[in-house]
Amino acid sequence: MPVRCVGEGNQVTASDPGRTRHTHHRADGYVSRWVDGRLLLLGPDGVHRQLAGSAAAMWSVLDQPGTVTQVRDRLAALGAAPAATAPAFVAEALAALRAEGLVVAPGSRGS
Amino acid sequence: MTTFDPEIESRVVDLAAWSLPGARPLRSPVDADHANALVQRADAHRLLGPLAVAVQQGEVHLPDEALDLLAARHEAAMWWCLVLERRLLEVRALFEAAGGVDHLVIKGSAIAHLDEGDPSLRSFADLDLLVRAEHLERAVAVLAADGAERPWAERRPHYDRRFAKSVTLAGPDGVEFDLHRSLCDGAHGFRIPLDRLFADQVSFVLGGVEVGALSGTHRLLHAAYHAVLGSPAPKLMSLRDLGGYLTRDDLPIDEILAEVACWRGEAVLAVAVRETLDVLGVSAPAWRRWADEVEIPVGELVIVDRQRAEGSTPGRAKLDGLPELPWRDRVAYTFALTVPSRAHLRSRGLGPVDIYARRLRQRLPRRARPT
Repeated sequence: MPVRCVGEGNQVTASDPGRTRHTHHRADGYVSRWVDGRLLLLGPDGVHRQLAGSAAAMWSVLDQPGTVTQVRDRLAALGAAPAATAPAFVAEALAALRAEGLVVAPGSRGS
Repeated sequence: MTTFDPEIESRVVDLAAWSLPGARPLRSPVDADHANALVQRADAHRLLGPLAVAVQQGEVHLPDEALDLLAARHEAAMWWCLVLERRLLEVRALFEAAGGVDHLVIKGSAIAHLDEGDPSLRSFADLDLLVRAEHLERAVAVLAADGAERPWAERRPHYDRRFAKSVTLAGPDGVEFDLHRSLCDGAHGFRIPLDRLFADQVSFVLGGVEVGALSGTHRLLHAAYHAVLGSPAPKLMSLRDLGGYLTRDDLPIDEILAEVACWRGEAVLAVAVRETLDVLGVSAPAWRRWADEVEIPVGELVIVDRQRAEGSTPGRAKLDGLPELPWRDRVAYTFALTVPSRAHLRSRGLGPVDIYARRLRQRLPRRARPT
């Protein structure tokens, strides 16, 4: 069973400050389970994915749609380290999730 | 393969009660062999989730080899649950495209999402849907058109939507669907007021989609029915499900007893509550008092015992259901039980002669039976 891992270390090269205004939400059709600190994800494309670290935490707090600011606040409420709630870090991690098709932000470029 | 070891089995029983009020503390296995056996037995009872979390929380200590085994099996079980839930979303879309199939998710996925602290605590092996009887044939047709096959042909035309507990279909991907018309076989299956289950439904979100499920009261009663009538000896996971409901504050005993009276299922509930509290040792004082004091007519206990021993095979317990049916249905039900269609017999590898020979053998004294 091929498993694609998405976790810390995912970088995006294009930055778009305007995206911070957009509301992000989970892409439809993905089902998930936490196992041993990792998040297993299966979506409509049938690819088995695993999220770790900040990416998993972000997916978790997107159980309700949220802007970058709201996502930061929710991560902070979970007790995430300050570095993991820095605006640039959160924006980049969300971009990585968008690139993987796991998160959508209607209206933002590339979503 | 593991052999029966009372030490291991008692630890698995404790595991089934893990995190429930009054549960006995977990004990770590004494050596590496016992540790591996504990993981294997937990897997067999679908209790890997509780074991994994208990280990994470330091309540049980396992050596490295058993930890690796636990991690691998739990992850595999969770991937399978995700495969099932993705399939569920696909089938719901097919139902919609076919004009709609009124259904509720029951057992595994619903319990995982609605009743456990985290869905990864509850694993399941197949998909169970309660389908409104008038939509059952459409649901079967939708799954069949999608490649699923039923192992046995229908007993008689329209038997499923009129009398069956459920129809099982398996897809080429190995996913098995149990499409339930009712929650159990026999007399109690016919007594359940099915409309009330659909009228009082709740929902949970799966992949961004709201899916319907039984209410908490109905999930409790279904757990009791499944524990007692689902097999001769209740599975530990079924007892854990029921133990969880019995120890919750938001499911008042008065409401449950009022509902079970509508189902005329006090005997099933009493047997289930006694066994659950006795085996798991969890604390539910109000339920204990009720189970100790309630008086169940002997005839009702006989019906439960017979159903329990017989399971889903056609026999005397199925005839217990006869008085529960309107007069116009009794002939059709009896005829279907006693004279299954040729297609049904063929699918079970039987001919008309075989079934009568089997019945004759069952009636003969043991010494007189042909070998």
